[in-house]
Amino acid sequence: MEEINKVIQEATNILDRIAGVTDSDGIVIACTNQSRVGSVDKLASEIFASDDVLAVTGKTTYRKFGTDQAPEYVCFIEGTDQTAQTYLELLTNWLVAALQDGNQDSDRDDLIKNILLENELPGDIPLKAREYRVPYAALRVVFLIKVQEESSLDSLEVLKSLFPNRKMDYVFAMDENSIVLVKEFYRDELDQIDSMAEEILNTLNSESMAQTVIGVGLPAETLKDCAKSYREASLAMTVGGIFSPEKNVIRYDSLGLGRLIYQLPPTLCHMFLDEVFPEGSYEALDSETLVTIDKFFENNLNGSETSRQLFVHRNTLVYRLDKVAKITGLDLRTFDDAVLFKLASMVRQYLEFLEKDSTSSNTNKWWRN
Amino acid sequence: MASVVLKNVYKRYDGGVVAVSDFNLDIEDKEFIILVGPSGCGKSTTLRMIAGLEEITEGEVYIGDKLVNDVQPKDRDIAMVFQNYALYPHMTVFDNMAFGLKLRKTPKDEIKRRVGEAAKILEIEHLLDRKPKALSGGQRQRVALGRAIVRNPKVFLMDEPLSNLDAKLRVQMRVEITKLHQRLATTFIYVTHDQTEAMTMGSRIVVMKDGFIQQVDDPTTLYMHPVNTFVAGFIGMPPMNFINATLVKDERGVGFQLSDHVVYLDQAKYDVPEVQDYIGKEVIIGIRPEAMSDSPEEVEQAKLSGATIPALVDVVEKLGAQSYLYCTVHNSSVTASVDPIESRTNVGDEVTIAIDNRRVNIFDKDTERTVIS
Repeated sequence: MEEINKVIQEATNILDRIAGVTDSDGIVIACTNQSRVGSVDKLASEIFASDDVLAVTGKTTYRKFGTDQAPEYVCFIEGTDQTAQTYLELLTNWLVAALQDGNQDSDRDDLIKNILLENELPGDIPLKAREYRVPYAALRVVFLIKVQEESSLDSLEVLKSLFPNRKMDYVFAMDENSIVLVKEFYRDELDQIDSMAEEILNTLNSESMAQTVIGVGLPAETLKDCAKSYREASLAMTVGGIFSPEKNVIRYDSLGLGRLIYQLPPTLCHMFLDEVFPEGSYEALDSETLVTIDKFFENNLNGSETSRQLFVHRNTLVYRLDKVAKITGLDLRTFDDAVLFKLASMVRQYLEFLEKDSTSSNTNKWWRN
Repeated sequence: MASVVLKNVYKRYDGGVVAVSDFNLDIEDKEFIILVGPSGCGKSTTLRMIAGLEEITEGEVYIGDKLVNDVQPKDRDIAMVFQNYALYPHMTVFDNMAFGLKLRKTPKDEIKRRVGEAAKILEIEHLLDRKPKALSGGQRQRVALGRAIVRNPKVFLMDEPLSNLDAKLRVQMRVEITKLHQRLATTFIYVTHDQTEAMTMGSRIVVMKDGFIQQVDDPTTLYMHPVNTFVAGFIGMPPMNFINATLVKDERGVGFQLSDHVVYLDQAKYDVPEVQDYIGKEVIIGIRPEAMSDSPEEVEQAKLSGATIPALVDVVEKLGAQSYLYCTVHNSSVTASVDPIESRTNVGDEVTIAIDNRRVNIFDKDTERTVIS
């Protein structure tokens, strides 16, 4: 369909007469005269049912075509003269070529999708890659792009247009709100991953006005390794969503402490948390105190800078930190206690995520599965 | 065209990070407002909340008279322009500009009309058949603007759109965007970390820091009457000089003392109760570089009113239109912007600098808020 629309759109600028394509029921699916799209051409459906490949009726010439042996569509053009027939033959050949090309692209996308989902046997991948003319050994990075469901079609269209080289870059929908881009890079281009992710984010934000989050995997040396890059992109998105919810682009290789905490079993996390925060002590900290702690950590435990940034007197900061020490037993001015608090608050964040995840209806993150 | 109102808007992330706190702002219809502040101050998050690309934790956002908290971004009638943008490489400029409209199933004739109009406004009509790789940086930026213009939005949201351009082009595009605002007569909300962009483009500027609004004012008021040391230091290039001193009073008047040297203030400056309360206390003195001079005439004049300061010149920077003297004054580093023709000062000179004592700002040492400006 997409290919047919493209060909007819391009033909609009070349042809001096109306031409279009109908399906087997005679419904016009693409036409140089947009107003005819959706209307029914009864003659086209009759011709489709007949044995004739070419038919001239009234003021129009029709020709059946398809990518396989059996015809799938009827192409029509205004006029019954020899020029009309020539135009029609050229147009149907063009349409068939575009459809075949589209099918190949779609087959390639299916292969890559199966590799990412680990549905292909590792031994089969090089053979199938050769069959579909996909280079096996090439440096590729997987970008997992989550968009809101209602914008996903537009976003897919935007991404396909941003990366039009279908032989090097593969763009396809993974599910209703996930799009995958498998992008080939030259080795000296790897430093462009961040800026490319940023460009994708901004373009989707401005063109399809879609809330977007992007997870980026590590570069994969071969087609088989793309599955690993995809898993990494997916994990980056999940871990980033827990520990850096303010980020829209999350790289697997910059997950930091979050990556370690994410691997911990929940029972161990609960034990650690019970040890650091005696019952109810973290909950007793009000939001103002939590903001103060956050700022204090941000400023490397520098009291003067923290109080300046919070627009509070230094004594107020000291009072708040004393309060934290009284409630939790941790004096955040000492390095060891500060590290312990930071780790424990991240573990707590992780447990909160697990709790929300188990009752997924409560989560407000549209992109989190 | 529409006004934009933000009422008590907060953005808190899971885990406690607060990106924007109690943000209140009324943006008038057709206004060109700038959100400025250092990296991480919450300006882009605020813009994204207006666009609907970021959920609002608390508060209300209105576009026109409509509460848009729960309205999808694409239904908010806005257009965004970003710093990092990508043009569709295989499409012509026309198709690049038309792409968003095609996605929205806009009729062909309408697309042609809107792209034509936008191209005319941006003066890129002759480029419509070119592909992106045949465009210069400035031309590419115009195409990105064109993609926003063709949508005919009520509000334009721009997130550091010029940051990727080189210095010369940035100056040129600054003028272009200001002209564009005048031509389109639409509300523009523009985010930048560059105070020069903010000062030259906006009719009002919102200075932000750590998620809080520090001050909202027109460029001149922001420059002349900053509310705290942050705004005073952020706005203006070179930045305002800050010197820790004690406010003293004697028979000659009120002045600030730097060890054994006193610089007297203009009477209009200290004859107010706010200043009187600080006499004998430590304060922060703020002096703009252009309120300092090494011109012999001005130094003589300033000596009469006791508004001079001894300085050791560390570096002289000659920029043509003016020269900057980087000096040490009582263990503080200060910058003076002086007349390059009159100035005879060289590196290593011990000079007397005249201070325009009508233009001295005084800040509370603890709160860093303005006492008088």
